[in-house]
Amino acid sequence: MILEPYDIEVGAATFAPYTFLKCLDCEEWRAAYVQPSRRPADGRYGQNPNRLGRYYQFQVIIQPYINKIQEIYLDSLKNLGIEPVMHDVRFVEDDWESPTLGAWGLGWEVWLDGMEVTQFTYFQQIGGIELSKPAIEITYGLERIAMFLQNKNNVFDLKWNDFFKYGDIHKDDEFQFSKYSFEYSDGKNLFELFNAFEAESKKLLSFKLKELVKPAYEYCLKCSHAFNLLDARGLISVSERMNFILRVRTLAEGCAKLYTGYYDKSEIKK
Amino acid sequence: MLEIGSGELPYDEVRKIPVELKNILQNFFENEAMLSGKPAIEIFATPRRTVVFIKELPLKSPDRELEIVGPPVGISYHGSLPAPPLVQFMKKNGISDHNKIYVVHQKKGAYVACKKTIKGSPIKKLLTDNIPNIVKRTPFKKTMFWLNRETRFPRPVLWILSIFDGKTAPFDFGDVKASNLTRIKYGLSYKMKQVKISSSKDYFDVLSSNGIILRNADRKKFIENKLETLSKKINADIPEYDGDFIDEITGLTETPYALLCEFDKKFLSVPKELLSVVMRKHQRFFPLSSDGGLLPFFIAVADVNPVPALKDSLENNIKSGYSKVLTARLSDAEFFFKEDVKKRPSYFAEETKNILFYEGLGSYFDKTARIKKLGIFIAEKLKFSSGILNNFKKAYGLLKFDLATHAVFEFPEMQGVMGRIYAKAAKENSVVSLAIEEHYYPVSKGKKRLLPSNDLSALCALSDKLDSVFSFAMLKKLPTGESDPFYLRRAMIGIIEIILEKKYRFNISEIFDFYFNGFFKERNLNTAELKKILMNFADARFKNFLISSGYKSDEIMSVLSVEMSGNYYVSFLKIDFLSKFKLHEEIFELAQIFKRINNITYKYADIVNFDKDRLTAIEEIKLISIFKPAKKNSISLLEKSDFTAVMNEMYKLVRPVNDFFDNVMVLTEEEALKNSRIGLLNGILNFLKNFCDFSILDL
Repeated sequence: MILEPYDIEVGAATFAPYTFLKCLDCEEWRAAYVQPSRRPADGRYGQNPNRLGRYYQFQVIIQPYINKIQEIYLDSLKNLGIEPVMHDVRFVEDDWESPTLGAWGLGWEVWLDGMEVTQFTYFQQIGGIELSKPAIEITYGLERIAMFLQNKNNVFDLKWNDFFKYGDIHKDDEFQFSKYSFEYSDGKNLFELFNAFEAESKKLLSFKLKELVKPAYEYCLKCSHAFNLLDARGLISVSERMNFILRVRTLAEGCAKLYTGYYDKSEIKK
Repeated sequence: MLEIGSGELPYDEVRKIPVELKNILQNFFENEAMLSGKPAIEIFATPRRTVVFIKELPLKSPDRELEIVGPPVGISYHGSLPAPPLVQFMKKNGISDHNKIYVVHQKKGAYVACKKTIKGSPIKKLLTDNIPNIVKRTPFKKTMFWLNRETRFPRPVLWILSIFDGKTAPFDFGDVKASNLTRIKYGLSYKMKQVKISSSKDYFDVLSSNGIILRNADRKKFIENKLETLSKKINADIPEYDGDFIDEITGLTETPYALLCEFDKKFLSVPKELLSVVMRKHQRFFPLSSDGGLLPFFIAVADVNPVPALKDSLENNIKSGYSKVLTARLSDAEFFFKEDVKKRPSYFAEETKNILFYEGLGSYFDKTARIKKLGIFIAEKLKFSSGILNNFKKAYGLLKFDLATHAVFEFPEMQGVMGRIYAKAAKENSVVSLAIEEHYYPVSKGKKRLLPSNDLSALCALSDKLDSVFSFAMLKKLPTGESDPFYLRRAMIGIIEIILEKKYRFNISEIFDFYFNGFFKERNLNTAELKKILMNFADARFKNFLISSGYKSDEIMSVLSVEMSGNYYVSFLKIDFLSKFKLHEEIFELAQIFKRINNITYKYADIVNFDKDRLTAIEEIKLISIFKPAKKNSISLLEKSDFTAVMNEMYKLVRPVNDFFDNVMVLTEEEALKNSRIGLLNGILNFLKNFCDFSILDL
């Protein structure tokens, strides 16, 4: 199933409920979507040829496991115009972990002639809950792959189509959001936003109603983005960092528990 | 022959699997299959396959006779006939004739028993029944599940080939059925094709004809040869050639293919250490050098097996890809370096105020303030020259500045190294610059163990490490289990290595007192308790270090048990002396009198004075007249650590002590006399303890 991007700021496609919540079902789920992803701290004012504060991931999420998935992945490269036999394609150990989502898995970075083009993960745990059926997540770095195909050294030189370049569309975005994230964002407001989003999510979770888990999760995502903005602005010290991560994770884990019926079960136990 | 095909394994697993799996299999054949001989087991691993090959195995495990113990004799018989418990027992074990039952005597009493023959079972069945379990028991570093939680391996298992005596030996492992098929990538396909295997020879032929080098050692050799040939081509050397790095590459390839590639020489203006780390750590390329300087070339090892027709274009693709990726990385490194050298080290040192060392322990800036005071105190203890002290006063504030630089932020493993480079670029003197790098020593580089090269570096290293160990001990964060998240064990071992190598004489306990008199006073710590914990921690590291250097536990403990202040260099000298002279007559006799005294006085350890006037027996007078000068003479000898002479002084006591015991009754009725005798003996015992607790020595 091809889905449209999720419409809230996320740091990676994993954060979209199409992955985070859906994989907790542990049923049949095979979806793909492009996800614009924001990492304010990676912004470089549009000056660095490889680093972006906002970029595109192509996310493939498959549950349960299929045995031939690595070959299917290589087929997908071939379909993109990268003939695997003509390159050094490597699956290099990379165990993925998202402390804010309480999620982790084992897998690889896929290297194409030394360039990391995909993250390939077998999720073992999401939202602090061990999956009964692991999900496979394949995250393609679209800019990297496009640079490889178009033989460009600078992301902004990528041809978007015959008329526009990537830079025509996004260079100014990069500049403006770097300005904002590193120089003009207001710490006080952002802390307040973080607290407000957290409070709203907590409140929604406190009803323990399954029909509120998605709104609760959206506020968890907003919290996470506020945290990323604070982090980019250098307003979170090393010691506070872990604390903020834990606060977001508590929300994410709360959502995962509510979603998977953890509270129903504990009611029955009582 | 067993081949477990899987998704690409981490290189560390590839390296370890052969050893671990071999042990488990050997154990299985010995203890579960009960084979009399040890079969020769060969194990190979590549990222894609784990292979077990056993050339010869019996078809059947041997028959065995087992003794089965039944109920107690007391309840087993009515007269001479079997009672119900015994009847049951015989029935269960298929015995009809009760004359085959006999009696065994065990700790709890007498029991009936019988012999039972366990028929050997076919090895093929034993293996197919047990392989899933054997795989489960293999201590991989980290495993995952892909289907259900029961089936685990480091990466998903994709196929299993299992052949016994020419035929498939079937079993299931998760979703995979073992068969006689392997998988190989053939020439123009990137897909793994199934290939039927009929014999081990067939298997090895198929693999090697497709460029797969199964054996880790052969693959390593192959890579090393290629590295040599390619580097010779341009008369280059491979700097910091290190086995671990080659092992890593070996674990990442099954069809290694080395390529000589180039990068833009404009990057050579970046320090070679930084270039090397980008190449090695981040891209796993081998940098190349000539006459100590880097060349704009590198060697990369791909994992391909090209068909001849496509070889050139494949090589070109890979080379240009590698160069491009490296260029992007080096551009970053160059940018960070150029940004960093725009500012002075002192600017970054100021910035370390914003970098937290640890919650509750302040910033790195705070840490350097503690290092300063500690260093000056230690320098005084060690009577360092004013030259060293002056350099230390320049160095301490620069030890951590590079943590605030871009380069170290991006490449944390470059801490210390970048500090040295930047300090030197800012015209800091070379000893001070070097101390910035070396205060992180000892470190292992390849097979070499690097220690601080001079007293200034050693002083910086000791002060930094002692601060870490003391402050984390205060937070009760000393490691207890396996893990060592704050590297405190490593720091303590480093301290001990430096002390021993540099022959430094000072007491850790004295440094401890100084430290907690000066810092963290407001916390009202129970320093007595803390010191005990810390000294135990330090002693344990010292002991382990010496044991790994070949000293015996009894030698170490005889000294450590009486050395409370952590003067590790002197302790080491004593231990070293004991290890060489332990079997000499003198030591043996000293141990005898030590024990003789201890046996009498251990109940009265607090009586240490004696009234000389009460001790009038001739043996007593003799003993005192020898003890006093021996004790006096030993003081300076101990200070000089002249242990041969100390031993000789102590040895003078052997005869008088023995004469004393042979003729004098210590525990007399008369309390004051008894106490004087005990006081004298304890005085002697404590004197001997200046050397060691002789009673602990294993003689």
